[in-house]
Amino acid sequence: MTVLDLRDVTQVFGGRGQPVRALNNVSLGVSEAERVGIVGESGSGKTTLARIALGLTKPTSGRVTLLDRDVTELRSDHQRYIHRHVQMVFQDPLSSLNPRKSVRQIIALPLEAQRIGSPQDRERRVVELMDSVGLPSRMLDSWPSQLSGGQRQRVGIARALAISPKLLFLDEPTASLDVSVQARILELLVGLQAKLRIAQVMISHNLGVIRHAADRVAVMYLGQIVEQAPTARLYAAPAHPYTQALFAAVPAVGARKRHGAALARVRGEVASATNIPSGCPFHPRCPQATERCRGEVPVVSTVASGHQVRCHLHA
Amino acid sequence: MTDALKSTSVLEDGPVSERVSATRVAIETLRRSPLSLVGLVIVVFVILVAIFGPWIAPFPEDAGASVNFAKRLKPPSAEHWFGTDVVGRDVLSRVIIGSQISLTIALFVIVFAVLIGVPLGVIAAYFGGGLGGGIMRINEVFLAIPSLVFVLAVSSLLGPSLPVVIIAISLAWWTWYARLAYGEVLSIKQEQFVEAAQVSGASKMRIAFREILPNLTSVLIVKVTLDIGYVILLGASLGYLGLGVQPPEPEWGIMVAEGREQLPDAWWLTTFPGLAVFVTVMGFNLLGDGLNDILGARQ
Amino acid sequence: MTALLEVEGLEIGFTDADGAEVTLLRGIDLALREREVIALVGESGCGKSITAKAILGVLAQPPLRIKRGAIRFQGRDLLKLPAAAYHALRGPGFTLVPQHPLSSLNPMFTVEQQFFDLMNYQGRARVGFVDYWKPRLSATRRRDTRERTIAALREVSLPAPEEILGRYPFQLSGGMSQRVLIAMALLGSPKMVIADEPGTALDVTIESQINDLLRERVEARGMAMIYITHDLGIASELADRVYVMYAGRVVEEGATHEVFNAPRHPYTAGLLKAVPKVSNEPFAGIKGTLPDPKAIGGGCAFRWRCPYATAACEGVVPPLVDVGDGRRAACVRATELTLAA
Repeated sequence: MTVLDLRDVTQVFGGRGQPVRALNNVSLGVSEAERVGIVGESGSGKTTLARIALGLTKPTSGRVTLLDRDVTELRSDHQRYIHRHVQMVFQDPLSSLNPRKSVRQIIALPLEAQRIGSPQDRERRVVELMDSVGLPSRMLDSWPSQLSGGQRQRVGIARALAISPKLLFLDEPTASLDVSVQARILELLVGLQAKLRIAQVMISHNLGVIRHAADRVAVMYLGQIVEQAPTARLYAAPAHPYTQALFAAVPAVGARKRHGAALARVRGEVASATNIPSGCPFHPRCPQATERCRGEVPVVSTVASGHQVRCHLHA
Repeated sequence: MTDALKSTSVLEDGPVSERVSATRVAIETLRRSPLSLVGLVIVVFVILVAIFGPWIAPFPEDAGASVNFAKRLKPPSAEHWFGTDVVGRDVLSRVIIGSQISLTIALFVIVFAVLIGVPLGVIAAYFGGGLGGGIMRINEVFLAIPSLVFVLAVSSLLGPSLPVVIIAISLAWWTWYARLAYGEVLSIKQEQFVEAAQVSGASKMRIAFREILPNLTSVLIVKVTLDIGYVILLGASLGYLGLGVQPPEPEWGIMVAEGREQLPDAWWLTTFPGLAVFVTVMGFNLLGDGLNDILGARQ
Repeated sequence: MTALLEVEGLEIGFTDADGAEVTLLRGIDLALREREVIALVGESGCGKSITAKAILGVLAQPPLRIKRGAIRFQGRDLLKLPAAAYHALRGPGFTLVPQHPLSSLNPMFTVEQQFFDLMNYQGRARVGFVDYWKPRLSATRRRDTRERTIAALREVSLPAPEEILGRYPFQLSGGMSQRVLIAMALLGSPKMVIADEPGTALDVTIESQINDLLRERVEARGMAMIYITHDLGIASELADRVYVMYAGRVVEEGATHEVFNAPRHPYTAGLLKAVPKVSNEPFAGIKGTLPDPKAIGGGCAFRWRCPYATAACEGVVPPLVDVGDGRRAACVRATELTLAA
């Protein structure tokens, strides 16, 4: 069963003046218990995609289906339906916890706001969630300011799990944590997924994290999914030059110091979403760009089973 | 509501950091800034004086319209520490009991201003749109009129009395609270926990008043403390101008006004009520600054 | 083998609200040779940024206080230097490439104005009235400064430098700002550059461009560099030698690829294992969190989190000792343990 299905979703902000094309014809499906990773840099549209799926923004065009129900229109009953089934873990564990609420109140918020269970049920559930994210129950009455970064993120995860969602969005959940803590949060997420089988979408710029947290990866660039493949396949044979550039940018631990000229890396910077380049949006930075890439928008082609690329080189 | 959640055998991530208790920070700040301690002492003193005024005052009956011409215009002495006024009333007793009036005005004005201004500011900032714009335009109209002029107009329209003074100042004062709440909420709105509450399914009202509002408490406490001083000053100004509380009430502003005619000979008539205003306002200001440091440091 | 910079036994701390002494840097030893690139690696709270600030002389004092130690640059102890002499070293001696490019340029001035000030007044603590106006009023000086600025921007591969001259910082992207800041850092032809996580605020492809640029410029100009990072991969690619820091001490030091391929300190090994790798190797976090600096006491600061800790770890702070091959580690069991990378 498909949990979330985005069909040809386009999002344009700012009608007059310079419209910002944040998402351009994006289609993405998430199946039950599947873990999808979204990789992209700033301006790629990954945050907008999450906001649409979470019912916080209405797409300009396209269709959003959640568990067989069309929730494209931002009606309040649709939003209630989305909040009942989709939850999110945020990037900044400090800012995403209300400094004036105790851990207990923070975790119970989705249950209280959606009037799920009796106060006793909620209390039991909160204690259970604390245990499942590896926090001791004596922290229930702590304030966010008293917790370490990793503990805060565990609280954020517990809050997202409170209502037993069908789909979990994870927006760079480990990006603001230290390496040793990041690994532990990642272990927790992997463990929880194996147990709860909740469908997940993890947004990250860290290819190492995505490698362990996703079954399928979508690479986004300037509002488009430029490549999509099962994780192992994508990491073994990245097809799009942008994906290849992302891999080239990952420094390898333990490698010898590189001397002289760097490897052929991607040139220039991401273009502004107000002024997306003609043809393939990546062509000004692409080391393999041809005349065709400047003029003609590439279409999606399937290079292997489940592996799709939007690039003229693979057409 | 229970699903497959069972203990994940993930070890805890370390101890809860030792909480720096608010009391400790408060004591420390007060120790480092003796001026705010002075403010605290003054404020506590003024409040105690106001509460126990009728029992402390040596001549409590002098608070009203009593007349004792035998004792008129006596300079400060052992019997009358602050001297006596034109009709022979004890100035010390009047200053002591007058504190009740000043603090009553301040208390009611601040309560009204907070109750009107803060919710409007929160709504304007969080809901935005036409409603928010409308609230803030009305607010700006009120802000554009100097508060003294506004209060003068209201109290001359409705006739001067204690309730009118309170209403008049409150009407001028809520705008500041609306502004403050508006600005604060605009910035708190950007925090991720607001979005997290939305995703959790919390209603807009719940987010505005149960998630965001508690984050305003520190700034409000500081603002209220500082404002009490200003409201006392404004109340005294109105009394002085004859537009506030009316004689024979022992209001500090009225006392200064009445004593003015006897200057420079009977200097004690204006000096002591004036000092009372000065010390009280000063006390609240010093305390407010101290609280600002204490509550700011905790953020 | 002359050392350009030597940090010896540097201790920095402050007095907290209760009057208790808190030590953040607990004796740091560093050495940087001419033309050498070293990396300071560690997680937040390990003291790497404080070390950099202490070397640059921009530590917030008070509340922080240098309690002990020496920082020798070209043989002179910077801590004993008068303020003016210290200031004169910033630029021709050493400079900083900051962590947050977007907030490190003054938003009120164009790129050209900021370069002008830097070129004409750098290294001077005070500028008199005449000295202030002379370069500003001289047309040749202005033209000359402009040309040098363009050359400097070209050196950091900024496209269309003439156009960038007139821009304000908000008109630059993060990557462009960082290039401008690198150009500024290079202006005084420093002997040493301190780069404090110069890429963390940027996108990954931009970060790697910035790191490539830094490496290339440092090599071409024959400078030395201290690169501060929490990213072991970047340290691995950039640095000749690496200093791994934990809770205010250097716990391991040595040639980068040796340290990362055969760590001798359990913390280094733990960090290496914690990085989720693209190659799908298993990873594992380190249990627990950084101890409160006040709670460390006499033993090894890592003992609570260390899988190899023994009773011996509680007694004394393990000194950074030679473990062979020119490597040093601060672990009582450094020589007996075999740690996987």
